[in-house]
Parts: sequence; structure tokens; C-alpha cells
Amino acid sequence: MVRIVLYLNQFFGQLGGEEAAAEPPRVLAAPVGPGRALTGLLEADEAFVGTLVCGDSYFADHPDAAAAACLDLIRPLEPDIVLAGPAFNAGRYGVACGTLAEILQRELGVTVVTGMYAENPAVELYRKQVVIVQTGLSAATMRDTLRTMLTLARKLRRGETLMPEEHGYFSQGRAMPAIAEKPAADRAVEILLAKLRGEPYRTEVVLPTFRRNAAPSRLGDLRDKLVALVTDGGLVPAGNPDNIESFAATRWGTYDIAGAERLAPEDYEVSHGGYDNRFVRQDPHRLVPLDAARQMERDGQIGRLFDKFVSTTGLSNPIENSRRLGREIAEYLRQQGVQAVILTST
Amino acid sequence: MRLQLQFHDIQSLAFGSPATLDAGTLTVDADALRAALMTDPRIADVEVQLVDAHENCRIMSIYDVVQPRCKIEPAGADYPGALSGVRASGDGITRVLRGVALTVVAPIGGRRFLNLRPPHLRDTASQSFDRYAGLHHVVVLPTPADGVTGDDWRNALRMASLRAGVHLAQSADGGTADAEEVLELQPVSEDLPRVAYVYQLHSHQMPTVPGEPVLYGDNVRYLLPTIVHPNEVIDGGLLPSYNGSVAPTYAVQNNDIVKKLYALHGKELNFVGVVVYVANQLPAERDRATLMASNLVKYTLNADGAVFTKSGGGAPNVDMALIADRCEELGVKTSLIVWETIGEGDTEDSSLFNSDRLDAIVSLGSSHFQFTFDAAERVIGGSGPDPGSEFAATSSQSLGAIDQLGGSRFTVIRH
Repeated sequence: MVRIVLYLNQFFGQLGGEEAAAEPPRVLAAPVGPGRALTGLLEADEAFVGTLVCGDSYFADHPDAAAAACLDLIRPLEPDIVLAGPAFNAGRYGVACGTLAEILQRELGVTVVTGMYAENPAVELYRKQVVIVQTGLSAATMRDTLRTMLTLARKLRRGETLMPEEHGYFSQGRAMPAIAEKPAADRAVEILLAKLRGEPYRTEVVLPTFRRNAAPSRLGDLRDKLVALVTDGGLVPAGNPDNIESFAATRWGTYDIAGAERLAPEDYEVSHGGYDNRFVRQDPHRLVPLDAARQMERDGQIGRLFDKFVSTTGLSNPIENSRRLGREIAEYLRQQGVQAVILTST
Repeated sequence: MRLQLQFHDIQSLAFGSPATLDAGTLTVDADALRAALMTDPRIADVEVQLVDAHENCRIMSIYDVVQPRCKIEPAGADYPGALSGVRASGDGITRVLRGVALTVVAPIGGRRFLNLRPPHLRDTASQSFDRYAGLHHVVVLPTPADGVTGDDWRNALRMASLRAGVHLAQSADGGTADAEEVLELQPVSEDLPRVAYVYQLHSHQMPTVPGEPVLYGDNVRYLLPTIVHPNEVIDGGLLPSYNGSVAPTYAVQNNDIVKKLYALHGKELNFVGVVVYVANQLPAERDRATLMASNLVKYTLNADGAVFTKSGGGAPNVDMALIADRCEELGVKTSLIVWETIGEGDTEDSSLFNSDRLDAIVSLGSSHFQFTFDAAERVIGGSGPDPGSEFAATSSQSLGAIDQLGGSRFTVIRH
């Protein structure tokens, strides 16, 4: 049996209107409201095992406690599928559905589908993490929406790939390989012609909007600081002991320079396929400026140079991987007491 | 400039002597082909193998794939500046063998493989996305003479691939073509939008070397943006660089942007020409190319729109985007083709440029996506214990998955 649980707010769960919005979560065994419509849509191997109801204000005012309480109440029901809402255009209800869906997916590994109207603010907050079916503005479409939510949940459980346009949910933006009907050249000329004619067109690649990283505050005086050299240009000891990939590296390494004045070309190689690295192989200081850093150390411009340099290869690295590498390197350096980094790229 | 292409369709391959093309069967004279290639003293030996398009075959370490072609008029003007002296290309008559490829395998210098059976995408069998998988292959495996290495060897391989292609095409002497096409930019209605193609020939993140033939034999090391006729692009005036182009000679000969713009010329657009340039290493070089290329598009070709393709890896995205961005600034609409570097299932795109004006971008798929190939019954050029076994590879290792000139159908969807 596929066990199905429905999450509803106080209104759809028939606890009451706004006056019941502060109600904490509880489980109702018998189907109420949309639950009754849902039971009519189930197949022979599916069972409705309970309704979880929580007041919108309660969830909004105590999101962590509410989510934890909901999790504790749902766990004994052993659901395979949880349908949350649909929340239509209700903002607090939408956020509750999104929050709960994300936690249930993560903590219980259960399949969760919710539903919202396009302008519900929770769509932008949760659509990357949660499958959100596109609904109408009001509950008039409840039955159809529930049917779609249930259909998508079944497909997800079967491991099928969903397509936003075909299946009527908000794109999660997850990249998947596909084969287009026409070669790229045809598509490029056609999209240009549409643009020239003022017809609608849609880019296949949406340029990312990067998170703005605030510049860290100035360190000021470096004369008492421990400074490290870090590069994404792929300089590694000869033989590449950590097997740092020459393309989109997944690893980074630390290499001893304690007491060393210079990097001898014969002791190093470059594991990076994206630039003309002959000049670095001739003289590694062009990438990792140990020579200049030692001079600054002697001159007292920096307190001390960290005993290792850190190296990885940035070439064509997906952002999510680059971010992980950066975080790991930063955590390592912080643990080692490094206070400043000279970052050299290519 | 008027180019007449005479197509001969190849249905099957056979060994035999003399080399002929009869009723769709291309008879390959292996000894004659070997002898032709060994006129280059840098090549010590050549092995020749024939592969039927329907075989469950895997070809490893591919250096180049060439569509067999030869010039009929003017005779001998094959790949000017590379194989012949510097002569005109894009004019006269060229014979083209269709349905067959001349494929050069070289363990040293060959970087990509081709599996004739399509791979699995996310565990499901895909339709083939690889134009080279649908072809018969005449595979040549040259061995270098003692001491021939590096750029010298890569030059020998490039010359061998061109020479072998010409040799095969000449087997059809005396035969009748199956089809013909005339490529000529006739004047068309003034009302049609004027469209240019802005073609990045090479990225000097991997600098070309002396003697590396790209544009009429020139190595384009210091090429400033210039204009060529589309016929010159596809008729041997242009060749891929040894490295870094992610497009074999076949893709240049069949440049899909040129083909598509020709197909729509006089119908939906006015194809006004091709601006060629290289991606550079130094900021001043890049700025100069940006200015000159966009000025050529806007003020010399008077284009209303332009399609852009790139070469190489990550950095040349920037060169392409800067030119496109300045074109848009000058009022020329643009579309671009790029490959992506997003991981499967990831939601965060990585792109090496950003401009609100560049809003028509076509995806060649991601270089990080993996395919699984079934075991192959026949393997050419393979090494290791079991080169025919089932294996996984990324799209950047698979020869035809990503064609930066737009000939491939692999893409990214977001779900």
C-alpha cells in the first residue's frame, strides 16, 4: 500500500477561519474538506492514512517549532506521499507547505508535492526545492489540482522525470541532459529571426544573477598577520600527488613551502587544461608568488607566510562545486590560524 | 563567388583495387591510400580499417574527422594554403562524398572517441545525437616516423587527414553525382533583415604554432577581425586548429550556421557575410577585436542581426560576449551558441559573461553531463585491458556531442 497524508491549514482542515489560525498542529484520522475529494482519486493500492492540520499563524509565528511538531506527528503515519495544500494564493499557508515539504523530503525521504498560485510569495522561496503544482487563484479548481498533485507524486515515486510545461508545475531549474529536435545552429538562427521580427523568443540559457558578496572589511596592517598563498591555477608538485583534475577539479591540495625560498620549476607541474601554462612551468612564481612573498616577509610587510600553499583547478567548474571548494579551503585556513590570503588566478 | 557542390552518396564500403565509386559502394584501395599518406616522410606506416555505419563499433583516440572532398574546378585547389598553394577557395566545383567520413585515429594527439551506438541518458536509451555515428568510416591509423612528435606530428596528422579525404573523393572520378547544390549569395529583397555570422576561428588560450594551417594556411596568431565569404568557410579556406576547437574538419566543411543562413537567404533573411576573428589572451588584443569585429558587423556589413559561435573552452566566451554586447549596443540584434558547465541536477548556472542584452542564447548541453555506452563489439584505436566494455563518459569526451559550430542537438533542459 502506498500511504498518503494530506497537510491542510485550519481553514481547509475545518478547524475554523482566522480565529483558529493560532491552532497548533494535530492529526485527524478521518478525511476532511479536500481530503474527501482526494480519497475519491486514489487507486486500489493507495491508502489515505491521515490529515495533518496546523493553523497558519501558528506555523508563521513558530516556524521551527511548528515544523518539528509536524514532523513528529507525521512520522508515525509512515507516509510514502505527502500532499501539502494546495495553498492557492495564501501566503502564510504557502510558506507552511513549502517549509514542511522541504523538511519531510530531507528528514523522511518521502515524496511531497504542493500546489500554489503563481503569485504566492512561497513559490519563489521553495520552487527549487519542492515540486509546486501551478494552481488557479481560488479553491474552485481544488479537485483538478489535487489530481495533478497526486499524479506528479506517483511519477516522482516511479523515478520519472517531470517537465514543467507538460506537467503543470513551477520549474525547479534543475539541469538535465536532453536531445533537441533541431541542431543548435537552426535554433540560433531561428531565435535571432524572432528577435529581429519583434516576435516572442526564449533563451535556452538564462544568464545567472550572481549573489552579491560584500567585500570583507580591510585588514589594514599585515605586519602581524599570517598570510597564505592560494591559487586555482593548478600548480602541483611534480607527479600531482593528490590527483587534482586538470578540468573542473573536485579536490584541492596543500603543499609544503616551509623554509623554502623558491619554487624550483623541476619540482612542480601544472594540472590545468584551460590556459597556456608554459610560462608557469618555466617559473612557478608567475602563479604562486613565493619569491615576492618571502621578500615581503623579510621586509616585515607581512607577519609570516603560512607553511603551505593551497592549490586547485578552477577550469569550467560548476558554481556549486566551486563554492564547496572555496568553503573547504576557507575553513581549513581559518583552523590553521591564517588571517589573510593572496589569491592568484589565471 | 559561385560554388557548385556535387554530392555522391555512399551506401557501403569495401576494400579493393582500383579505388572506385560504383552504385553507392566506395571501394577503398588500402595500398594506394597508404602510399599517398606515406609520401609524407613523417609517417612511417598507415593502417586502414573500414567501419559500416550500422556496426556496434567504438573508435577511440580520434584526431580528426573529414568529409571526403576534392576540387574539380579549379582542379588541385584543395585546402589552399595547407595542402595546396595559396589559391582561391569557395568558387568553381567541389565533389563531396556524403554518408562517409575519413577518420584519423592517433593515440598521440587524439582526444575524443566516437561510439556508433547511441548512449544512455539517465539510464534510458537515447536517440543518437551524434552526426558522425550515422556515417560509414574509413579509418586511418598513421604511425609516426622516429623522432616525429608534438606539433610536428599534429601537423603531419592534419595533412594526412586532408590528403586522405581528397584521395577518397578522387575515387569517384568519372561517376555521376547524385545531387547538386549551388552556393552563391545572390542579391535579394532589401526588405529582408541583413544577417551576419560572427565566427570565432580559434582561441589562443592554446596558442597556434608556426605552420598550423587555419585560414588559407595562416596560423591566425595575430589575426585581426576580417570578413570572408561563406563559401570560403566551407570549401577549404578555413580549417580547425590542432587543439581546442571542439569541432573536427567535418564540422567546418559543413558549418551549420553557414548552411542554415544559406537555406534562408532570399526567403527570410539576407545573408551578408562572415566575420572571422580569434579569441585572444591579452586585454588590448581582446578590446581591439571587440571594436573591429563589431564595427565590421555594423558599419561594413550593415547587419541588422548576427549569429555568434565560439571555439575553445571557457575564456573565449568572454571574447564572443564582448563583441555581441557591443553589436547590441550599436543596434545589431544577436544570438549566441554556448556550451554550459552546469552539473546534472544543479540549479545554479555558471556563465562566464553577463549582460542583459545577451538574451538569445542556445545551449549545446553541459560538458559535465555523463552518458553510459553499452559494450562495443569492435574497437578501433583502443588501449587498456577491455576497451570495448560498457563505460561512462562526459559529453566533452564524446566526439559529436558538442559541436561548437552548431551541428549537434545535445542540450540542457531545466525541469
